[in-house]
Amino acid sequence: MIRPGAVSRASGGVLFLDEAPEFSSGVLDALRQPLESGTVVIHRSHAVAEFPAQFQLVLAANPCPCGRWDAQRGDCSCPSLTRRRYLGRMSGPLRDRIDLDVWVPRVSSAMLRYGSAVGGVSTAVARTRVEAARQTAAERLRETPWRTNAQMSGAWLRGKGRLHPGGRATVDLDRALERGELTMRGYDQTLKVAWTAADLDGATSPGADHVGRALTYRSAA
Amino acid sequence: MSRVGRTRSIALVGMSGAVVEVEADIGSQLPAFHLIGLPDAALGEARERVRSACANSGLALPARKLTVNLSPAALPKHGSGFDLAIALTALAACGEVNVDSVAAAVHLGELGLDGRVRPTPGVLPAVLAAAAAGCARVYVPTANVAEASLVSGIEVVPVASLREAAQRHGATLEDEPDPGDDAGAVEGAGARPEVAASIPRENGPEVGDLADIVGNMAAVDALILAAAGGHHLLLLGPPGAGRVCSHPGCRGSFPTCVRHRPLMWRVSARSPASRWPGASHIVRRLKHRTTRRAPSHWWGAGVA
Repeated sequence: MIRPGAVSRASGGVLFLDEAPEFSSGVLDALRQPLESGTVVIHRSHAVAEFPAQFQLVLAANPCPCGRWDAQRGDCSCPSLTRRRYLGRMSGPLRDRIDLDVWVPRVSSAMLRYGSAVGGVSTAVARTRVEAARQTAAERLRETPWRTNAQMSGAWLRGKGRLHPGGRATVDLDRALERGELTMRGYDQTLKVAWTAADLDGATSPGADHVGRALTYRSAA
Repeated sequence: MSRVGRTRSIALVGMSGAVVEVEADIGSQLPAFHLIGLPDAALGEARERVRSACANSGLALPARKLTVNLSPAALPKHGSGFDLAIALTALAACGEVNVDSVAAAVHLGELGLDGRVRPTPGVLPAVLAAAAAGCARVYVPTANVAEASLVSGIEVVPVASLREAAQRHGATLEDEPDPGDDAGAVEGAGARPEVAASIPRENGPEVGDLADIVGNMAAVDALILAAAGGHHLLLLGPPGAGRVCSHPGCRGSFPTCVRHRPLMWRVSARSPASRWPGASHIVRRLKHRTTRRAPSHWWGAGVA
């Protein structure tokens, strides 16, 4: 009997892996195929079964086994090789499929004071913004099989969909692609994130700031 | 009196279903109950459930040799969803119910020993397969009726007990208190969450708030971007810095991810898994220590 596993049961929702490098690299790399195709095919001796696997992947990870590595104040006790190996469990191809790769630094007292003074974004406000942005994206994509920006195909985005914001907005992005810092997939994903940023801001098309913001989230560490 | 009772049920392989012909024959040998056609352990035990359920519904099977065949015989079949079909085909073979009426319908459902029809996993893909195969009518457990009626182009008949199903197929039974109608049946159905309760709640109880996260505005910004666009997200940082996502507050931003999905598509994967999560549960949080091997966890268990 073939039963759907975690990726299928998270289909249409979020698959959250806490402490991602603690999973073995084989386990993590096995996610690449469903991330790409949105389906999972299980081959067994008696049968082949296909399940949907359109999930949103959210990973959380420490930078090293001791967890204290920091670019500025590194009191990390891990040898560099250990650290490399630890993060290396999330392979390059897997990292490349992650649209938002965010470094979350240790909170300093200045950040704490500033944060308390400014105040955070409440869940209710965030939800309203998220819903509005999703509505905008769904409206734009109503003639397509997709509903969210992340689902758009890169070729459609740049070609038929005519959603490329134009050369002026993507100067930095084009340069990053030229320098080999971005893969073509990374280029498309950055454009998609830029569209989401524009939707959240209520802009009709992403500007250079939206593309820039999306680009900063491409490379965390 | 030797005739063959026939009906149909659905065998699931992943999410695709195959129509299975269930046929029963009453022979004149020593009393026995044979179930053939590659049943698994759960399906093999259907013999005991069916015999008791029939006896307790006032439709005792004769003390003769009963052979039930599940065809195509080479297709492995699993689970308890064939119980109702096996019971009705056996009753048709011994003349208790109308043979043609039983043969014309598809039956899904597990039987309790007292004859109640229990819900079974995978009803939605099974009904879809029945409709695709051109079947006109499908009998499903009452607890699965909401799931089954999502499928158009097929008549869905909910049944609470074997007695009720037999009566619908022309069995003459005096009116007794129906075991399927008593409080026990409702309780039995409630043991597995019903579909109505499973449709994601719009506003679940909220624990914690995104505003509680101080500093690390970039992480919050990225979280909102991810929720709005459905983008994949990696949060990398020292412990205690901003495991923003472990923070329950983030769940409040995420439910929209599922709300606009077509219901059919959303439930279809979970139906064979017999999980019916609410919105909050669609955020599946996995701990590494629970994942031993990729295949069993990601793709699902493949026990032949």
